[in-house]
Amino acid sequence: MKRTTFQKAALMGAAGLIIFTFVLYWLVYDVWRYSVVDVPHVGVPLYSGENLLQGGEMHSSIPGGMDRLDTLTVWPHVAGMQEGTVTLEISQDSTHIALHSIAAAELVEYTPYTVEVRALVDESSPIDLRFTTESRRDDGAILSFYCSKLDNNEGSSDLMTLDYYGVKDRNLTFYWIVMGSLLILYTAFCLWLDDCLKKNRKNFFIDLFRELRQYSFLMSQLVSRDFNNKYRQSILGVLWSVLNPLLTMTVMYLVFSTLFKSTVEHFAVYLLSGITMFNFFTESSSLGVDSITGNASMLNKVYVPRYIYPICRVFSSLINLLFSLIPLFIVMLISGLRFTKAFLLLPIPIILLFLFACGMSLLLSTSNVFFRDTKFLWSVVVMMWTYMTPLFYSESIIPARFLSLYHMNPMYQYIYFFRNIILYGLSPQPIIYLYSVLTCLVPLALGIWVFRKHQNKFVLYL
Amino acid sequence: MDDTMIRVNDLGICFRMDRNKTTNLKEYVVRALKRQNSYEDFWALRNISFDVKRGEVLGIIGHNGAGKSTLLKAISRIIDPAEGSIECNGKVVPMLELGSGFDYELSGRENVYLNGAVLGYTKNFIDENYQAIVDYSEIGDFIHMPLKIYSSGMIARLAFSIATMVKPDILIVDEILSVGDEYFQEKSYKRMMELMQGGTTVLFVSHSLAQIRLMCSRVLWIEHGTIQQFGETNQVCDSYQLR
Repeated sequence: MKRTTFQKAALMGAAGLIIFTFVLYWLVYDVWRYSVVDVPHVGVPLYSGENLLQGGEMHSSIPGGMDRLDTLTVWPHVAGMQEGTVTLEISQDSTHIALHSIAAAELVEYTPYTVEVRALVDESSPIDLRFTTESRRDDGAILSFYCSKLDNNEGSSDLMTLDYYGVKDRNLTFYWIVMGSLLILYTAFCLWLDDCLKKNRKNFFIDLFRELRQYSFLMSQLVSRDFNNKYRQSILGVLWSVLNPLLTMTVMYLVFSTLFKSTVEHFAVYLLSGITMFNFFTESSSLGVDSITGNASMLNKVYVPRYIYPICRVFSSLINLLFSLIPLFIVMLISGLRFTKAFLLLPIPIILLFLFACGMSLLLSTSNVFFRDTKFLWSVVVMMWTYMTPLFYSESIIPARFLSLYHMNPMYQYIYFFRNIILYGLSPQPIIYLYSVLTCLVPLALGIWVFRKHQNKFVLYL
Repeated sequence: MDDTMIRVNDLGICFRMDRNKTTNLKEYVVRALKRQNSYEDFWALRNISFDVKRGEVLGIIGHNGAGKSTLLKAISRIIDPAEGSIECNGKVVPMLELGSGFDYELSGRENVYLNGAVLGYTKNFIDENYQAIVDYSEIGDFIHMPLKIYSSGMIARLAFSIATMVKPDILIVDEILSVGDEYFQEKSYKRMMELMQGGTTVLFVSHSLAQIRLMCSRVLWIEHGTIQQFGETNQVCDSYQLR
């Protein structure tokens, strides 16, 4: 590779990274809300049993721990109230923060009503809320707040709750620190590579780039061959990529929604999102196991970097995954979910899962060359893995003491990430980013290391 | 300008002969526990050193199992050397066995692209030369049929056309000129001569001494994994015949 080509590519990469940083920042403000609230949909119990009477007053508070309060969401129970206003006063340590008037006519029964607060608050103490009404009518109760979403509390229907979102500004500085250091690391990496190129030193990454450029056409050919061979002589062809997950979902949906009475919200989408992601992993890894042994005739006859075979298999499964996003989106729209800003984050879990699958394929294909048992063992392991991941059941059935063990499953992280975006339109907590990156980089590095160490011996064992 | 195209330095290729080829884990573990995992090193090639200059045609002769094909595989980077080193300057196109890298389910056209990609050609290059490749192979309309219905001669012709369409710096040929009918043999012989005149270095394995005498400038005679004789064509061929 020429140095100028490399420099051009490096600059383009840097520009991409900077754009990505700003797009992510733009998303973070709305989507990355979990700095304070950990679990979606669980609000704070606001008031129990009683109604907010005419001229009455209702107090509540939400815990502190945030630098800025963004929104408050209430689920009102409007008992015939049509006129008048409800005043919401927000204060902290007896200092007034914000005052909002809500016209009663705007409130719809059991429909979330969101108040935009966007005020700076003190992190250390709780925030007090005071609801008052000034008008008085003869027919008693006029307004109460009600939450239909809180189902893990006993006698939930009478509890009145509200959701709130706040941001710790510190986390946004933290964001800039993380992205800034990423950029610095990237620059240092590029400079180092450039130096190696200048001095003509051998380097793993430069060789990799060079080979990827040289063999990119071959890879596209191998991927399209895999893909064509898969659907050869089937009438529906590529349509199977779309139909397959849809049919699997239908069967599972029928089984789990009627036989086992699943209580998961938007169960069809929940199910299909998990199946789509996990199917990709199953398919790519079981194709990957065989990638070296199955291409023995080519490995024996021509030189092509050996890692191309497993990686190509993962690529063709990736194309399949992209196709099966279509039915997922359709089911999603039918269930009443909409595309949100958060969908811009969708490539992240997919790319991470792709890298994880690459790492696993490299490991498995190496192992399969020396022990053909790997292939058979793997099909059992994959089945076990399917049940260990919350695909068709809710995570809440796992006993709490096993949860931390349960979360070590890399597939769990990617599916959690993916579902958060699709179901809730939200990014997961920042810590999930860290977990998912780690769980994909470790197997990937291990896979590359093992593969490189043994690839010279492949030909002798085929 | 250094015009050494291939430099082979003290090359050794070692196969580990598993006395009891274990390819399953249970056996492996049981044997490991019993300490029965015994290996025998088999040196398919050892102490091989030679170099080839630009435009030279090097013939390689020897009996079956002497290590000729292993040497070609090592030079095409398919087998990694256990000791010594191989340096190649430029693009190596191996034609070790006809139809290597072909997918018999795909059509001839798709295979031209696939095989071209395996040999490292770019898409543009194949697009430009596609017609020439098809014309040269004289396959005609069969190019749109899947390869599994081709005759072996057709496959040989197609493979040869693809491999020689580019002017490789180093062409590695393992007895493929003996395939195809007489007419195509003559045609391919002509093409090889063209390539050689154009500066391509050729490594050529054959059992036909007549062919070797006709084409090669130097000959390497391998026996039992070591060099028996290396030198002028007629000299080596004579002693090979006498032996």
